[in-house]
Amino acid sequence: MKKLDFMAALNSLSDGTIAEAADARENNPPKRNIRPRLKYGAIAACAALVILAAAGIARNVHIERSDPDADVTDSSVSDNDGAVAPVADDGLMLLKLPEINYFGGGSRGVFARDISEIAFTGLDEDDDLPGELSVYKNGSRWLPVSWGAVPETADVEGMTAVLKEYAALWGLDADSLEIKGENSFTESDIENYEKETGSPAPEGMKFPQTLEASQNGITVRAGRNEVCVFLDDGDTAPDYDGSDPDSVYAAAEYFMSAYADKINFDDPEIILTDGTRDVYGKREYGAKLCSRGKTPAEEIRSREFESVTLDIDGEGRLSSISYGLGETESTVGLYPLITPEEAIEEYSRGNYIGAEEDDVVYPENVLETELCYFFLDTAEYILPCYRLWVYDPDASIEQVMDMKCYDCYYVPAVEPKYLESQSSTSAEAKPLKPFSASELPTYRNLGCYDSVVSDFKPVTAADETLEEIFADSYENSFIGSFYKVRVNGIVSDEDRVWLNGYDVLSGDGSAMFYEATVLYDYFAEKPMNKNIIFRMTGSAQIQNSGSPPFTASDTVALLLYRDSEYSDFNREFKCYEFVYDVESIDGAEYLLARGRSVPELESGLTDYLTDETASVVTSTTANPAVYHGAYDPAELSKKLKEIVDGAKKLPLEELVENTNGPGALAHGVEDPESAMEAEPLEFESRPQYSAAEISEPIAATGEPQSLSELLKSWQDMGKTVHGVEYRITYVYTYEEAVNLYGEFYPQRTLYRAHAFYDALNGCPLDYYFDVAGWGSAEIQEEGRPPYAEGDRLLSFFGGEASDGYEIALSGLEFMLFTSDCSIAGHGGRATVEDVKLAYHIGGGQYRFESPSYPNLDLELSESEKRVITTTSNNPIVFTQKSTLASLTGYLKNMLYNYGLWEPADALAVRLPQVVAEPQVYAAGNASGFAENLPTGQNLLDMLNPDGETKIPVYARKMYRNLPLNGMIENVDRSFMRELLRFYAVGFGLNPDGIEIQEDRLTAEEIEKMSELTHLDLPPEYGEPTRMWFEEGGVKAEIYVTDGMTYRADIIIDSGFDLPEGAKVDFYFGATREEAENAAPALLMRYEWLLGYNDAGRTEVIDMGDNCYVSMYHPLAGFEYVPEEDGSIPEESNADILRTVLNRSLCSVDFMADGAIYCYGIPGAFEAEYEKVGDYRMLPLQDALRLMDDGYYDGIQAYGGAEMRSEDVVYTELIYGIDGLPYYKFYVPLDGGYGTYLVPAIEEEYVVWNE
Amino acid sequence: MQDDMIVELFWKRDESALSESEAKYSGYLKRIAMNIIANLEDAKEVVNETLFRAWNSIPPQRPDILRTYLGKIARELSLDRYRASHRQKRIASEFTVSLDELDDLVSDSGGDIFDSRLLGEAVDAYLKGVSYEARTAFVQRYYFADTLREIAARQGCTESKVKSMLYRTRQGLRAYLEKEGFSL
Repeated sequence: MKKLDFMAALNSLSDGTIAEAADARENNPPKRNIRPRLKYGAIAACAALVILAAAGIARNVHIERSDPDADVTDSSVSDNDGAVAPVADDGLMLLKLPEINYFGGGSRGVFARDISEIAFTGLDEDDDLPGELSVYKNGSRWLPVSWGAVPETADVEGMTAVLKEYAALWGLDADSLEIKGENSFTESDIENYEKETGSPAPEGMKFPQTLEASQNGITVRAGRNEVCVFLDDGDTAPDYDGSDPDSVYAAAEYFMSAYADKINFDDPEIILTDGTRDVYGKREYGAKLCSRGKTPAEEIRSREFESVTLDIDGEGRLSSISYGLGETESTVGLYPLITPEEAIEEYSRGNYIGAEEDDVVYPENVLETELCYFFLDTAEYILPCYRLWVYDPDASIEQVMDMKCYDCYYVPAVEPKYLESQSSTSAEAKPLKPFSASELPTYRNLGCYDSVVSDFKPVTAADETLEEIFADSYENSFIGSFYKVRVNGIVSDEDRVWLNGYDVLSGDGSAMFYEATVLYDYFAEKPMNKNIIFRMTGSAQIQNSGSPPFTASDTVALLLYRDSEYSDFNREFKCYEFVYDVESIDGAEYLLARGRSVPELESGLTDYLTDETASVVTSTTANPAVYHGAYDPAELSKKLKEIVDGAKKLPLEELVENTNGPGALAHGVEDPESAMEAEPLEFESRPQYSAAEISEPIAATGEPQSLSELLKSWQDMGKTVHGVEYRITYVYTYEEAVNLYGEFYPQRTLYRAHAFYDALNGCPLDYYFDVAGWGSAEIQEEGRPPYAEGDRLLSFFGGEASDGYEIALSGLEFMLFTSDCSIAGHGGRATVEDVKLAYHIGGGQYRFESPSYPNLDLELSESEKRVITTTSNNPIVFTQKSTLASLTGYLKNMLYNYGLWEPADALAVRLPQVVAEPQVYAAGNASGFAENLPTGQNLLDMLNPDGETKIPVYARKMYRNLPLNGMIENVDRSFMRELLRFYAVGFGLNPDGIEIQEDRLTAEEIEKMSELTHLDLPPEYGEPTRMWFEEGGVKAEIYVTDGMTYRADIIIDSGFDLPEGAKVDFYFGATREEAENAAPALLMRYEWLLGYNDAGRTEVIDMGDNCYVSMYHPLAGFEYVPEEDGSIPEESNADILRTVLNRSLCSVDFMADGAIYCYGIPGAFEAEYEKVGDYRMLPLQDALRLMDDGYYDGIQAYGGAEMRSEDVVYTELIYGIDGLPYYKFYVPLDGGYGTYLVPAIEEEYVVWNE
Repeated sequence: MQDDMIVELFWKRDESALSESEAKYSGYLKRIAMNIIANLEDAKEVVNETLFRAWNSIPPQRPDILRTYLGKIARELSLDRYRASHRQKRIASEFTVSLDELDDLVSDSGGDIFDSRLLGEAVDAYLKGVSYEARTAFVQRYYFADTLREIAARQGCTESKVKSMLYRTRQGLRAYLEKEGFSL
C-alpha cells in the first residue's frame, strides 16, 4: 500500500473525529510561544509561573490550617531509598533542588511596557521579609521521564472525597453525582515507561488524574493540586475591563461579596496577578483572594498556599473558581533565608533553578525581587525562593511594539549551605580510609537495564596510555572540566533523533545521551547547579565491559569535553575516559575508577580500595561495574588538572604519534631517517596536480642573490612595499580568470584571497582581492607549486596592481602556520600554542639573520624542507622558519632602511575593480532613500556632500562561482550545500541533521525555465540546479531561477491560525493601515522562529494597486538623531548606508495568509556576500552625467529614445543583488516608469559584465 | 449563517448557498489545500471546485456537519492534484513532510491493497481509543497536514512531545491494523 493511499483513506475518518480535531484547531489557539533556543532558566521561571498560577497550591479554605509557627519537622521525610538523608551542621536536612525536565516546555518570559505594569504576588523589600521560612515536602510527586513526567501515586479516594466536599459547598447533591475520571496515559505510555525505566509503571499512571462531575450548570473538577469549580452561569461584574487593574480589583471585591458563602476569609485580601501583555500588546490582570497574614511568614503562606483564584472572562463573568490543595502538612523544617541582595549574587553566579551551561545572566538587569515559593510537580520540596524579574533586552520588542521582555529566575531563598548541590558536604571533611570491596554499598538501580539488554556484547576494555587518550579526545576538541554530575535521565532514541543537534554523530548506536545536573566543578572547586546533556560511549545493547551505562540518579565524576566544531549549537558534552562513580562510604566521599585505567594518573594517587578490583552490579546484572581504584576527589582532581593543563600547553607532537606525516613538519621533529632519504613529506590533503613542466627554481635564474640585492632592486623601481597576510578562499580556473579579466597568464593561477592582517602596520584587515600567483597546474617553478584553498600566506605587494588583480613581489613569500592548530589549510596538526610560524617559500638565496630577532631563523629539519602540497611531482620548498613576530619585525626594519615602507603608509593593495551585473532578475528592493527629509534637505546630497564618502561594496559569493556568464555547468554544489547548512544553523537546526535534497533538471526544463533555447546543454544535466531542505516548518532552498541567476529562498509555512488584524492579504485589496497593523503582529508571531531581535525594523512598502510588501530588516541601522538645525550628524552615514543595504537585500516579505518569504535572514547576508572594500562614493551629479553618457543598466527600455538626466523624476540609492550600490533613476514611460541603474562608486572601479 | 440553513439553501438550489459557504469556509478549505499542495493559485481553485462539487452533490446529500463535508471534498481534490503532479517531490508542502513520517506505518513498496473506506474506518476506530491529545494531534497532522509546531503550540507542549506522541500513535495504529488484518 502506498502512503498516499493511506492518506486518502483518512478521508473516511468519521465526521466526529475530524470535527473534534478541527475544533481543536480553531478553538484552541496557540499557547504562549515556546522558543526553541530559550534559556532554561526561563523555562524554570515559566514552569513555576504556570504551576503557581494554575495549581495555585492554595490551601483548601475548609481544611483546618496548621499554625505556621507551630511547624513540626516531619521525621518521616527522607530520601527515596530509605537511607539517612544528608544533613547540615545544625541538623537541618540538605535540600535537593528541583530538576527541570528538559522536555517540560516553557516560555520565553513575559512582556510588559514597563516592569511597573506587572502585578507582583510575593513579598518584596518593602514588606518586612521573614528571616526564616518553612520548607515543605511535595506530597504529590511526579517522576521525570524522557518524554515528560508521570504521577507516582494515585489517590482516587482522596480526590473523590474532595470533589464531593466542594460539590456540597456549591449546592450539588453529592450522593447523586455521576463522577467521571480522566486518565491522560495510554497503555502504550505505560509500556514505554516500563521499557525506559525497567520498573513497573507507577500507580499514578494507571488511575485517573482528575475527577469531574456536573450538576445544574456547575462542574466540579478535582485534581491532585486543586479543585476547580466551573460556572455555566456565573455572576458578571459591572463595567469590567481586564486590562485595568482597578477594574479587576473592583470585580474581585464584587465576587467576594457575591460568593461570600463560597469564599470565606476572616480578614480577606485581594491580590492582583499577572499584568503582562500578549504579543499583540493586550494586557490582562487576574485576581486571587486570601487572608491577610499577621506576620510576614503568615502573609506569604496565605498568599501562596491558602488563596482562591478567580477566573474572569473578557465580559466580566466569573467562569471558574480554583481552590488550591497544596501539600503543606509535611514540613521539612524552618530554614534561615538569604537576603534579596544575596539572591542577586547567587543569580549572577548561576545558582538558580534550572540553570544551564552557557546561560547568560544579567545581574545588572534585575529589576524586582520578591519572595515566594517554588513548586514543580517533579520537585521533592516546595522551597522558598526569590523570584527575580530580569529585563531581557535580547527578547524585548521595544522597537516594533514598545514591549519589554522580563524573564523570571528562581533563586533558592534558603542559605546555600542547606542545598545539596551547593553545600560542602560533610563527607569531604571526614578522613578517608582504606576499605575493601565488601564495604561498597549496594547499588540503587541494581539491574534496571536487564530487561532491555537483549543483545549484550561487552566490549573488552583495554588500557590506554595518556598519550593515546588525549590523541583520541583532544583532536579537534577542547577539554572542559572535571565535573560531579547527577544523572537525571536518559534521552530516548526517538527524542534524540528529533532533538536538534543530537542525531548525527556517528556510532550513536553504541552511545547514550544523558540529561544531568552538574553539582560540582572539581577544577574550580566550586559548587554548581547547571543542567547539561552529555554523551557517553556504551549503550544498553553495546556496553563496555566493566563500565555499564548510567541510569537516573547516578552520581558520577566525569572529565567532559565537546567538539569545538559544534560548540555554538550542539549542546552536548562527551566523555570517554576519566569516568568515576561517586560513592559515600562511612560518611566519606570517594571516586571509584571504572573502565579503563590510566596508570600515569593513578600511579601517583592514594588508592583506598584494598582489593585489586571490586565488582558491583549497577545498571545491569549482565555487566557489573568493575572498579580498579578508589580515590580522594580532591587529590584526584588536582592531579588530573595538572595533566589536562599540561596537555593543553604541550605541542601535540608529544601527544600524537605522527612522525612521518605533516605533523612532523609542523612540530619541527627531526627524523634522521627521513633526513637521509630526503623524501618530501606529503600533506594530508591529496595533491591536485601533476605538473607537466617544471622550470628551474628562482634562485638559479639570475634573480637577486641576497635580500639586500632584492630590496635594492625594489628601491630602484621606486616601490612602496606592504605586507599582507591573507588566506586563499578560492582558486579560479584558467577559463574563469580569462572570463573575469579578459586575458590571463597561462603560467599563473588566479586566486580569490581574504586579506586579514596588515603585517607591517600591525592592524587587522577585512577585505577580499584577487591575486595572481606564480605557477599553474601544468607549468610550475620548482619548489613553488600553486596554492590551495585555505592556504594562509604572507606576501609583499608593490603598489601597482595589474588589471584589477594583484601580483605579489617575487622573493618574499611565506606560508603561515596559525595558532589554531592548522597549517595553512592542509589539515596539519598543531604547533605550539600562540606561536605563529612563517615558512619562507623558495628563495633559498635570501637568508634572514639578526641577533635582535632570536626566533628569526629557527631550526628547519630536513623533513620540513620539502613538502608535497598541491602537486605530486613538485614539492613546495621551504628555506627558513621564523616566528611571525620576529620575521615581520626584521623585515620592517629592512624595508624601512631601504625606504620601501613608512609606518604610516596606506596599504598598497588597491581596491579591485568590481563587476556590475546586468540586473535582469532583480535589482534589490526599493530603498526609499531619495525623499527629501521633513527639513527639506536631500538625504542623498547629505550622504556625500564633499565626494569623500566611502561606501561599502559587497560581492555575492555565488557570482564568483558563475564566471562563465552564469552558465549553470558551474553550479557550485558544495557552496549551495554550505549555504543551506548555514540557514539551518540560523534556525537553530543542526546542519548535519537536515536532509538536503536536490533536483537535477533536464536540459529541456532548464531551457524552458530560462526561455532560452541556445544553451546547448546535454540532455541530462549533471549538477543540481535546486537544493533544499525542509525541517520544522522551515524550507530553505537555493535554485537557479532563469538559467543564469541563483536565488536563495527561505519559506516558513504560515502555520498558525492568525489573529484578527493579522489576516491581511498583502497582495490583494489590503489598505495600507491594515498592512501596517498586521506586519508587527506577523513578525512577532514568527519572531521566535526567525530569531530576530528588536534591532530590526518592520515597515510596509506600498507597491501600488493595494499591494504591499511588508519588510523586516534584521540588521541594525538608521539610528541617527538630527541636530538641532535639522542636519544629520556625519557619523550617521554608516547607519544610513546600512539601512539602504537592509532595505535592498535583507528583508522578509509576508505573503497572503501570513506565510513568510524571507529574502535574507539574520546572517544570511553575511553568508551570501563578502565585503570587497570601501569605495569612494560617486556624487549624484556625476552619476546623472554618466547616465547621459549611456553608462547605465536599464530595467525597462526607454523606447529607443536617448536617455536624459532631466527626465529623471525620482532617484534613490539601492544595493543590487550583485552587492554593488547603485543610483536608481526613475523616468516616466507610458504607463509606468523606466528604472536605470548607475553604479554609485567611482567609475574607474567598475567593469560592466555585458 | 448556521450550517443547516446553508444546507437548506443548497437544497432549495439557492446560489447564495455558494456565497455563504465561501464566506464561512473558504479560509478553512484553502488552508487544507495549501497544506497539501502548497500553491495558492491551486488552493483557490480547489476551493472553487469544492463548492462546485458541493452544489452538485447537495442534494441528494444532506451533510450533518457542512464544514467537515466540504473539507473532505477539498482534501480529496487536493490529493488528486498532488497525485497528478509530476513534481510531487518538489511540492514543498507540510503534507509532503508528513508523508515521510509514515515510513514506519506504511510501506510504499509492499503491502496489500485495501478498501479505502474500510481502512479509514479502522483507523477511526483505533483513534477513538487513544487520548484526546493523541487523537487530535494525529488527525491534525495527517488529515489536515498541520505543522508539528502548530500542534505543539495548540497543545502547549514542545514539538518533541508531539513527535513522540505521533510516533507512539503510529506504532499503536500499526499494531492495531495488523491485528485487524490490514497489512500495510
